[in-house]
Amino acid sequence: MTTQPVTLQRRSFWQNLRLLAHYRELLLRWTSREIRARYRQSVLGFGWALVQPAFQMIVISIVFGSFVRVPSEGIPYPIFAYAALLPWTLFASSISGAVPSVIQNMQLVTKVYFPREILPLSAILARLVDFAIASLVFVGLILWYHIPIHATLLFVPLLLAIQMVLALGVSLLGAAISVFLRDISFAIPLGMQLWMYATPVIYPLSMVPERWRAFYLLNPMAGIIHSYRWVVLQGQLPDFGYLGVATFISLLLCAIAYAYFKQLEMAMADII
Amino acid sequence: MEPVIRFENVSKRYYLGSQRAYANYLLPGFAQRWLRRDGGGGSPAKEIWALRDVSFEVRPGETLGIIGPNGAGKTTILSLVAGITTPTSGHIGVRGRVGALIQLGAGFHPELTGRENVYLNASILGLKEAEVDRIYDGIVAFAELEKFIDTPVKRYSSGMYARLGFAVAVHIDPDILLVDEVLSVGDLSFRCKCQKKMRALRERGTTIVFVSHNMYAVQGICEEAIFLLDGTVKYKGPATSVVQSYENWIHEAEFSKAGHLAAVEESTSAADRVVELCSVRLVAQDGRPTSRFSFGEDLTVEIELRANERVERPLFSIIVVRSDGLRCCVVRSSSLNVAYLVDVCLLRVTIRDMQLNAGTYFLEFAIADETAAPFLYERVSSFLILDPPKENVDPTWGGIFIPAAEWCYEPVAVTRKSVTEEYTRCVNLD
Repeated sequence: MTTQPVTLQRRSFWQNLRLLAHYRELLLRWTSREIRARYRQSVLGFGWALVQPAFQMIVISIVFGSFVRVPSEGIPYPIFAYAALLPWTLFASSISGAVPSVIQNMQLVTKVYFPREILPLSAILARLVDFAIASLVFVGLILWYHIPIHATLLFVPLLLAIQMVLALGVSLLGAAISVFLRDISFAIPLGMQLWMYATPVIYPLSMVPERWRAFYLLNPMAGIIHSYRWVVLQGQLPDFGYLGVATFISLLLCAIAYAYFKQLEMAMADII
Repeated sequence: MEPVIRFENVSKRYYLGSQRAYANYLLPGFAQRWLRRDGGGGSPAKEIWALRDVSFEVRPGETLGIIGPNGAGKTTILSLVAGITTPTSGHIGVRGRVGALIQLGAGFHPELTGRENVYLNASILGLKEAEVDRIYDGIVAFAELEKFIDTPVKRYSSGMYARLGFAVAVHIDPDILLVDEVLSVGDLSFRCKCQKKMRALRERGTTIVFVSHNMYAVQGICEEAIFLLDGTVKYKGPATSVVQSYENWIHEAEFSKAGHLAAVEESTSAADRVVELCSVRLVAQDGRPTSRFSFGEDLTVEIELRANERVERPLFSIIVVRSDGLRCCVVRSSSLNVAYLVDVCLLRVTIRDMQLNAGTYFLEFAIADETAAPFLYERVSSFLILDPPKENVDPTWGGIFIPAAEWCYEPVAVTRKSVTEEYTRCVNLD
C-alpha cells in the first residue's frame, strides 16, 4: 500500500522529465509497435521507406537538375538533392506522424494515464528506422558518383539530434492543439510543404540573396540542412553560427512546447 | 486505517463541445479575458458540472458501490480515481496500484492484438515485461480467449473486449480495482466468474469501487454504497440501505412518469387505438390503493379499458419486471372466458402471495387477440415490495423470489466403516 499511483497532475518541468524516464519501457514498446504497425499489411513493407525518397529524388533531379538547372555547388545534382531530401523527409514525416498521434490514441488517453508525450515521441523515434533504410540509397549514390568520404561525417549525429529536437517541439505543439482544434490536422501537410520551400532542399543556400540570409536562417531547418551538405558532401566544418542559432531556437521551442503540452494534457481526456 | 481513496469537496466541470469552449483550454487566462473583451458577443461556453462537492472516503479492503441514473457522474468518479482527469476544485488522494475498467475499456488499442494489448496495458500500469510474462497465461485463461489472442481487438465482440479488460485489471494484482458496468456485457457464466473473482479479491483485501446500473449486483458485491444524483451524493451508507433509497427514488420517478395518472393521459391522446387504457390501480389486500406491498401479500391490479373496435377472445397478460429489466413472472388470463371486449370494462386480477424479494418492480400489461399477437403492450405501473419477513434472512442474499420452504433434519446412523466399504466396492466395480 505504499506505491503512489501515477496520475494526471500538475508537475514541474523536471518532475515531468523524471516521470518520462520512469516510463522508458513503455516508450520503447510503443516505438517498436509504431515501427511494426507502419508497414503491416503492405506487400513492399519496409521497402516503401526506400522507394519513397528514391523516387522523389529522381523526379526532383529531372525537374530541377536537368530542366531548371539549379546550381549544385559542383556536386552531381541527384546526390546534392538527396543529401538534403533524406533528413528533410525524416523531419517532415516525423511531424506528420506525431501530430495526429494523440488523437489516434484517444481510446487509450481516455482510459488510462501515462505521460501523453510518449505518443508523439515514439512516432518520431519510429521514423528513424525509415531514415536508416533510406540512407542505403545515399550510400549507393556515394559509391556511384565516387564521392569521397570525409571525417566531418561525424557531425551527422549532432545534426540529427538538433533536427529531432526541433521536430519534437513542433510535434508536441501540433499534437496538443489538434486534440482541441482539428484544423491542425489539415494545416500540417500544407505547412510542411511551405516549410520545405523555405529550406535549401532543392536549391543551395548560396542562391538565397545575401540581404535575406539573416532572416532566412531564422528557420532552424535552413541551417541544419545546409550543414548536412557541408559536412557530408564538401567535407567542411559546419558554420557554427548558423548551427548555434538553429540549436538555440530548436531547444527553446521544444521546451516551450513541452510545457504547453503538459498544460493541455490536463484537459485532453475531458474532450468528448 | 488511512483511507486509500479520499475525495474532499470534489467538483468537476466539463465544457460542452464548441469552438468557444476550446479557448478555455488552449489560451491562458489573460488571453481569454482579452478575447472576451474584444470579441464581445457570443454566449460563454456551455458548461456542465458532472460532480459537485462530492466527499467520501474508502478504506483499504472496503468495497464501495456507486449507483445512480445515467449522467449522475459515476464514470467521472472512476476517471478521477484512475487519474486520467483532474478535479476542477477539491482534493483527491489515491494510494496504491489502480486496476481500472472505465466504460468497459482497460485502455486497449484497437489495431493491436489481444496479446500486444495485454503487454501494453500492463506496462502502462507499471509492470515489467517479466512480470507480465508471469501473469500472461492466467489472463488469457481467465478471459477464455486462447483462440483469439492474436487477433486485433477491433475484431472482438464487446463481450470478448470486456473479458480481456477485466482479466487484465484483476491479474495485475491491483490495490484498488475500479469496475464499470462490466457485468452488463458478456454471458451469464462470465458474469458469475467476474462476481466470484471480485469476491475473491475482496477477501484478499483489495479495495473495490464498483459502478453499475444494476443495484442487485452492487448489493451482492459491496458493503458500502453511494447513490449519486446529478453530480451530488444523495445518499451514502451501507449498500443495502443505499440500494433501498435508490429503489425508492426510481419508484417515485417512474411512478410520477408512467404511473396510473400518466397512463390515462397518454392513452386518451391516442384515441385511434384499438384498446385504450383508462386507468390502472394497484390495490392491497385490505382494499386500499397503494404501490407498497409487504412480502407475501396479495396484489390486485385493476385496469379500466375502453375498446374502440371489437376484439375477439382477448387474452390479457400481466408481466412483472424487476427494475433491472429481469422479467420475473407472467400471469395470463387463459382461464378467463371473454368472447369479445365491450366498450368500457374493468379488469381485475389478483396475484396471490407475492413472494418476490424486496425491491422495485414494474408492471406491464398486454392484450392479445386470437391471432396471439399483442396489439397493446405497455408499462402501466410500478410497485415496491418491502422487506421480506425476518425469518427469511436479508434480501441482499439475492434471489428473485422467496418461496415457502420446509426444512427437515434428522441424523442417520451410518458407521464410518460401512461408508468406506461402499466406496471401495464402487471403485472396484470400475
